[in-house]
Order: sequence, then C-alpha cells, then structure tokens
Amino acid sequence: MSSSLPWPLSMHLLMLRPKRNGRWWRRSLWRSVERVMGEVELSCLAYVKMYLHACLFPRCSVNGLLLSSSPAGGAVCVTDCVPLLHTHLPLAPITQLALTQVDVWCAQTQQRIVGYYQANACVSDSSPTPCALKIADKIAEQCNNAVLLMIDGGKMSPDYRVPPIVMYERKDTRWTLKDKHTIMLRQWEETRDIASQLLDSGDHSLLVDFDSHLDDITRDWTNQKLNAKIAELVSPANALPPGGGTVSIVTFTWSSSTARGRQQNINSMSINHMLLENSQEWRNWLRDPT
Amino acid sequence: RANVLIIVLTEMRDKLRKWREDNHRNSEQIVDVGEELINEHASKLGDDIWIIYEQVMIAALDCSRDDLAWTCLQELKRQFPGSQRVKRLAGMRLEALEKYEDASKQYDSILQDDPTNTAARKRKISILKAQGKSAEAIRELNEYLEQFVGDQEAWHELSELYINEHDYGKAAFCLEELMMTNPHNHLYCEQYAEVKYTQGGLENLELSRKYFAQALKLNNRNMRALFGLYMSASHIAASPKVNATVKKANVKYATWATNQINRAYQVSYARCLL
Repeated sequence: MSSSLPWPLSMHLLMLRPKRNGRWWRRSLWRSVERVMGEVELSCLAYVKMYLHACLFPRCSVNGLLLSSSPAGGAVCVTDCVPLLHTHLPLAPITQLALTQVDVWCAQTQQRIVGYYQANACVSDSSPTPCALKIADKIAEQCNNAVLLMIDGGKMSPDYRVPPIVMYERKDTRWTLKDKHTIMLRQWEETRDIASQLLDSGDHSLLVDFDSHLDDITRDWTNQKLNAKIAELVSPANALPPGGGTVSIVTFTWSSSTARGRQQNINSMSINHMLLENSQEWRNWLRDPT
Repeated sequence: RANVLIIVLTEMRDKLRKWREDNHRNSEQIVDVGEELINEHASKLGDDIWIIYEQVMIAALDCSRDDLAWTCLQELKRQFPGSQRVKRLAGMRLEALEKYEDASKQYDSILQDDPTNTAARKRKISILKAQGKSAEAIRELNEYLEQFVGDQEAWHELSELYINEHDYGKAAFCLEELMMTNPHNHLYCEQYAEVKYTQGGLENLELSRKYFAQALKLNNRNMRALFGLYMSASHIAASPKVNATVKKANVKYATWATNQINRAYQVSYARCLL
C-alpha cells in the first residue's frame, strides 16, 4: 500500500472499497407504493449533458460516468453525469485517473457512480466495446444496479421521437438488454427540446469533459456553469424533487400512465431496443496493482 | 470603407490559411468563414480561390452541407478538368453520401492512371475504416506503410487502429516509429507511455514512467504526462515484486509529481480568480 504518499487520492480507492450491501431500503413514505426491482430513471440533466457530449465530438467515441444523488437500494435514479474522454478510450492511465477523481468528488458531494455511458464514433455500431464492458464491470463491483448506456448515433437525427439510447444491466456476469418498461425519462419532449435548444445556440461548447480539463486545467469538468444553464430551462415538473430519489412513481408503459403515491403529471416514454449480442472477449488492461 | 473591407477579407483569408496549414478539423468554422468568402468576395481572391474551394468543400462534407460541397466541386471541375486532385474530391463526396462502392471505383481509376497516388490509397483505407472493417483497414495500411515508410500521418492512424483493437504491442511499435522521426514531439512520448502503461507488467510500467518523464522534459505543462508519471511511479512502488531501493525511488518520483500537480492546480485557481 502506498500510504506514504501525501496525495489525498488513493489509487486503489475503487479497488479496495467494500462492496455495497444491495438490500432493499423502504422509506415509510413509500410503504404504500409497490416498487419494481431494477428500475432506472434518467434525469433531464444527465440526458442533456450526455447528448451534448456526443454532439460536441461527433467524430470521436466519447464516454462518461452516470451519477446518482439518491441512496442505494431500490430504483436507480441517474441525476447527473460526468463526461470523461473523447480520445483513446481503451487506454488505461487517464481512465483510471478520471474514475478516481470522480469517485472522490462523489464522496464529497454525496453522490455515487451508478453507471457508464459511451457513444461510438462509428454511427452504425452502437454495441458496447470491450473497454465499455470492462469499465462497467468495475462500476458494478461497487454498485449493484449499475447500468451501461450506449448512445445510438443512428437515432440522433433532429426529428427523433425516441431517446437514442440503449441500456444494459448486469445479470449474473453478462450485460444484457434492460427491459424497456423499467426505464423512465420524465417529460421526454421537454428534455429533448432543451437539448436541441442548447445545441442550436452553441452552448454545447460550454461542456467540459475530463480530456478537455487535462488540456486546460482551468476548465471545470463538473460543469457547474452548464448545470446552472440547464436548470434554468427545466420546468418544475421535469426537475427531480430536492434530495433526489424521492420519486414515488413506479413503472410506466407506453399506453398506461397510472401514478401511485404523489400525484404528478408525468409524461414518460419507454425505449425501443434493438436486439444486440455483446459476447465479445476482452483483454485485461486494467491491472490490479496488488 | 473599401479599406475596411480589404482588412476583413485579409483576416478571413489568413484564418483559412492558418487552419489549412495546421490541419485543423474545425469544419463548422471553416464553412462559416469560407462560405461568406466564396459567395460575397470570390472576385477579389485571385488564385487563392481554388485552394479555398477545396478546403471549404472538405469542411462542408464534414458538416453534411452537400449543397455547398457540390457548388465547390463544380467550380473546381470547371477550372481543372481531368485533374486527379479534383477526382479525389469527387470520391470524398461519394464517401460522405455513403456510396462506398462508387467512391472506391473512383479511387481505383485514379490509381490506374497513377499507382503512386498516396491520397487515393489512403481514402480507400478510410472507406474500410468507415465501414467498420478494422482488420482489413489495418492490413491495407500496413501494406501502404511498407511502400511509404515516411508517412507520419499513416503511422499515427495505424497506432489508433491498433489501440482500438486492443493490440497494444503493435500500437507501441507504430508510436516508436513516430518518436524516432519526431524526437521533440512530447505528444508521441506521452501516448507511447500510455500504451505501455495499459499493457501492464512491471517492465512496461517502468518504461511508461520513463516516457512520461521524457514527455515532461519536452513540455513541462503536459498534465497527462504529469499524472501518468504519478500513477506509474505509485503502481511500481506498490508492486510486491520490487526491492526496497526501487520502491523508495518511485515513491520519491510520485511525491515530486504530486507536488507539481498541486502547484499547477494552485496556479490555475489563481488565474481563475483574476
């Protein structure tokens, strides 16, 4: 253990953290509400930043981490995302560095890493690459309901009606497509419009990913300015309740819109998937130092 | 008023020239500036107009501005009928429309007339890459490099292809070629170090630390190299296979890197507050 180093970050932070207990956690408020295991909600902020990241570097593969400010257990509520790289995704040093830095920041801001997203440079192929699977596996070691999200470049045309994302969850040791009925985006049309608006106004250039931060360390990879801009545009119905994760709305399907618990007017959309196989082999590039 | 116009024109021309020489891929900006220049001031540009047409056409293809690309292509065809360079541009337009078969035929016809035309060969390899046929692209690029050993751009492209295929050994070889011919380029050193780090194992980690240090020597503001030095040194120090002397030395390197990183961030915060 390199405990003699003065640097507050521990290189082995991710590796040595004890595995979280994936117990059910029922708050008294939700006693009357039936929750479904493996539910994922994607917030407007997270979606818009992911989308802008992919648009900012249209000729590169980009990736990033999905964060949640809600407590562990029950549904996964992705409240934010951190864009990471747009060059040399398969190389280890910067990825390891970014994971460690984001982990430390999350600990300071009461968030946790709950997933990983990637958009491939090749628009016709949105299947997870070996390095995507590797990083997602590492995240799943710390978070039971981790999700892997691939942005489908082919569906990102201006008049797209469906969120251009494909989500995977970990069953046993493999990443399989998630049941579309357990994925939720509030106020999809508004979210989509906000993303288009920021793209048209050129504000997507405000987005800073970790790579850009390393090119110029005065730039803020937590994107506080952009977060504030997006927050201004989001209507109250689309925003997450304070403290995040106190959503009491349960599963949605295309046709029904039954809401239990608190009454809110939510318009959600389930996501159509393409059946993909992701049985690729990968090499062990993230070496365990111990 | 005419003077103001001339100044604006010269500025736009200089911008385009700078972007052309530096090989920037800021296509949206090039289209903005170039389109205005072509539409409003074509007569005042003299012979520069042709190279600007070429530059703007390629940028337009990159931004899906097919209308603009077509206009530029027509002007160039009219001025230089039968030119190989214009033929290549026509091929690129077909590529942008995803008509890869037709584009390939276009490049083949160029190569029939001139087998040493490197541009056409590289475009054919790009088609393979666009279609996701990495293995074939790698094979073709290797064949190309056997003939044209000095092509830096091609070596770099090959290293990227190998990295995406997780073939780090061969990627390292390509970067070694680049470092030999460009010993003062800190980016190649740093990328080589990253590849070595990714390969893993004690020997590769030591090599990566050395090349991160070399990159820092060439450019002491390269943050990736600084972080890389810290990480490789701490990994070596943490490894059970090293003896006490090596461990001590690496802890020293890592501590030095930490201090440099802290200083760099402090300076940047101070700059932000100004």
